[in-house]
Amino acid sequence: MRVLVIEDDRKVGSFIQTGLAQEGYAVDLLTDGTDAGDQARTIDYDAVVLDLMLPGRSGFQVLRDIRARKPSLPVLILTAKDALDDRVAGLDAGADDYMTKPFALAELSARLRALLRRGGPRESVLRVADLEMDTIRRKVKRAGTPIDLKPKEYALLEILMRNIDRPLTKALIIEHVWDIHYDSISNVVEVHINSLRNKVDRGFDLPLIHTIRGVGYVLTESPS
Amino acid sequence: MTMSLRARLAAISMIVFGVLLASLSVVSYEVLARQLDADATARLSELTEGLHGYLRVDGDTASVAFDASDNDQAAFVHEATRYYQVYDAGTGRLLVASAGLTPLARHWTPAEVQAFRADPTPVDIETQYGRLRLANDAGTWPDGRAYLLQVGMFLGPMDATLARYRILLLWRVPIALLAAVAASWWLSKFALLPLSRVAAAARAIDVQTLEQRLPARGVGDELDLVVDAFNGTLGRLERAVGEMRQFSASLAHELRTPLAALRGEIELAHRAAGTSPAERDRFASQMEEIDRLTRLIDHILTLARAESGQIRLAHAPVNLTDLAGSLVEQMEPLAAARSIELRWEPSDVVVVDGDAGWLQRLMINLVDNALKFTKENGRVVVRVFRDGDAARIEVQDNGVGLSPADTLQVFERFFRADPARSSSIAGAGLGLSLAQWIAAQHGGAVAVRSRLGEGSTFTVALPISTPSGAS
Repeated sequence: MRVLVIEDDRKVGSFIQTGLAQEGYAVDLLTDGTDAGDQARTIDYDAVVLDLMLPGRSGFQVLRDIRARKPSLPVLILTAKDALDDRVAGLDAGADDYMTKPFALAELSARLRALLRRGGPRESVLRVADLEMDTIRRKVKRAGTPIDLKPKEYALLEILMRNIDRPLTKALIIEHVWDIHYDSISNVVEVHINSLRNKVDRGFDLPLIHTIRGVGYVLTESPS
Repeated sequence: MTMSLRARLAAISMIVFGVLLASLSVVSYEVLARQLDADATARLSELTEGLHGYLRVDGDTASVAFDASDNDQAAFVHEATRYYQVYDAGTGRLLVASAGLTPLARHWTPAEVQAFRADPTPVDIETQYGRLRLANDAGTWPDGRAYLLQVGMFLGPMDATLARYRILLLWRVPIALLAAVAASWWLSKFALLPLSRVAAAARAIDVQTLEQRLPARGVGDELDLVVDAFNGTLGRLERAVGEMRQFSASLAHELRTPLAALRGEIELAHRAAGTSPAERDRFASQMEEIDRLTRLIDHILTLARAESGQIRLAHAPVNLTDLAGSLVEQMEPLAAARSIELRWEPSDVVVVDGDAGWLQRLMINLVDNALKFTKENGRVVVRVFRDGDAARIEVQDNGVGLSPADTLQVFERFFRADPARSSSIAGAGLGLSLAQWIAAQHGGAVAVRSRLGEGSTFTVALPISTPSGAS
């Protein structure tokens, strides 16, 4: 997987590069948008991470350059502009996702994964150890015993199971599970994780849901 | 002063006209009265002086002799002798008196005759038939005896004229005054009409339409001066707000980029292979602090954008009851985690015109606030109901409550009732001021009733959009 990162702040760019490289991506870093269009055409990237405020050429122009050559290349906008208008403008201009700074690396990689997986087949039955989720009948079993989940708990478990072994940030979970802006209530996720743990992990020797402090939550059989 | 400018103009013109009319009336009355009086006195002295020539004396009686065939003489004597009497100046005896004086019984004692001689100025005497003016004039008979001629004239007609004139004035002044007030009320409406137009145009300008200007009428009058001054103020305001917008945009960028770099480097160190659990803990704590700082920046920027008019709200029918119901359902686990009972008591289906996302945020902030300040085993009740033309959202808790002084400040930015105690409670004291802004954007307001130690009730009142909202 090869990712093009266009970010003018060298420190931000370099930690994205390091972080994504650690996860197995090949990362190219550009600090301005002048050559972005050409580079996107000549090299077969799987995704682009694009800052909006760039010297020389604005992120929106770069986005148009890329779109002109590679209409289906996933582009994730990463910007300090957080106003709703900017977000809408970014998505309208053809971006596939939008993230504001500061952000968690874990979240960036989760979003990239989601973009890269897009269009791929979605399994209807998810399995992790002895935990099983039937996404068509919306039924969850652990060791063959049905578990009764509330809708939010189910949605939370589904996103965790679809990202097995990968930590998810609270912000990402809130965006996907809740349809409301919960920024002021930081513990809404914790509370639901707790109740989910009570139903999924309690009474079993192998806990599946883990907290990674400072980052978020992960569902895994083998915590590091 | 609560009077309108128009009413004040009318009142001022009433006072000015009133004083003017009253003083004019008094002056004209006085002038007329003096003139009439002077005319009467002059006529009387003419009659008195003229009559001397027709007087004849014969021992103890006097008489008037004239040529009856001379119309002028006859007319003069007839007029002069209507009320007259002649006294002997030495003895004070009455020599002759006209029949007209007799019913008035105005004959004088010798002492009085002497007094009239000494001071011959005319005297006015009140009689049952009206005011009688008597002129005195001394004369000497051909035989050397002195006499006093007294000629009278009734001032009744003059007094009646003056009385009529007085009545006329008394009627005229209030009527003229009323007419003047009505006219100035009516005129001021036209004079003030451009002012009302300017006021309406100024009212239509808010923080989102600061680029607008009031139309100058180009006639160069005082109102145009006001319009110019107001437009100047608008220009300065527009620049200031523009700078504020620019500032919040650059602040966002300038703060977020280094924070992103900082957080990213910590995250890399956190996940690095050689990091010990203790270090990992420290890095995690640093990331938590950065996340907290980020949320704070988000809140401040949201408020700054809101107040500089950069946020435009949608206008669509929003079912408040459904919105609050689903919100309570989603927040229930939060309450349960702290053993707080979150109760949902809807009574009407209420629909308002507004922005569902922002209204949701408003309710989240209120419920979140209530949960934060309610102790374990406490209770938070959310109600949505209709109250006349208003939709009401009520969030009631039996938590720590607020002192009366704190109640007044609770919507201010960064307000915390007790900094020492609430430092452990997350949040920067911006949620309620954002809630107040959201309510205001919907034409409503948030109010609070609270008692220290007994809990608080926050009530949002919003105008209802559809009259058929009640269930």
